[in-house]
Amino acid sequence: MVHKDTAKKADQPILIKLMDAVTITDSCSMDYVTKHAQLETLWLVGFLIEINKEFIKFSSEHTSSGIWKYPVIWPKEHVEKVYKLVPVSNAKKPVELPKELPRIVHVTWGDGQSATANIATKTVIDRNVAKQIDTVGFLLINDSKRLVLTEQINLRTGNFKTIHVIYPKYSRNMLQLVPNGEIDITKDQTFS
Amino acid sequence: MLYKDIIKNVGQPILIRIRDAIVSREFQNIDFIKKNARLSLLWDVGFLIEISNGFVKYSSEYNGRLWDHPVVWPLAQAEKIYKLEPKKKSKQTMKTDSNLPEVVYKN
Repeated sequence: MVHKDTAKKADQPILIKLMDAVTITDSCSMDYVTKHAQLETLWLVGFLIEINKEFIKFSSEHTSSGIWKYPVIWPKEHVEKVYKLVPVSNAKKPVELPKELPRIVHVTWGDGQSATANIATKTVIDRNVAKQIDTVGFLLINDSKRLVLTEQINLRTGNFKTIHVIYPKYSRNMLQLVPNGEIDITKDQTFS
Repeated sequence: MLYKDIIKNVGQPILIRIRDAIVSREFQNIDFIKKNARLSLLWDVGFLIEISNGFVKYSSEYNGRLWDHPVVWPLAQAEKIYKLEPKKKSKQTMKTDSNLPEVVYKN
């Protein structure tokens, strides 16, 4: 699948720099709270779903059935920058990013299906293909055994969140993406 | 309900050993990811719906008409599928894993 098909089907891939509060759900001391209960800058990737007056909506996983997995709906005022991602070969003037950020890739792959609803026997029997998924992520591991992508990075702590593990034999396509210009978040935009 | 009625009305109960990726949705460092982002072996139970065309299909809950959370999994990712039957009927029980809890059927 070429990039223009992805952008049409799964929407525009984006890189987002946003602010989130990092906290902990265990008991901890006042010193810990003073140090950690603060706004952190995070880097995320996903396919843009919508930008409206107050929110930006995106998700890093899109299935062939049109369902988004773990979509994020974030207040726009906590978003610092949104960059449009394009294949390396299409980028005329890539945006400079912190060198610590790993490469960004788009992978199309197949996976088993676990339904989240009540389903009739005939419908289950009729399912004879793997679920096709489009995932965009920062590439952490790429070897003969696995592709490991992450959706969120905290550069201060060097930690990653929301990890996708894809087995090479189920991946059909991997395309490297780079930021190529900013998306104006002051304007309403709806994709799909 | 008798075992033969379960088979007739719901399907063959199975114990299945499958491979899936286990990862975390919390912030983790690269050492955690290198160690844990890999194929892991899982034990599932369910009623067998179908094995065909490279897939095994099963679900652990049936309400008389619909399957709750059915799984359609590539056969290549299934390591073993065992047939489950009532303990008293079992003449030669397969050895699986001593850490597995008892498997039960509840109507």
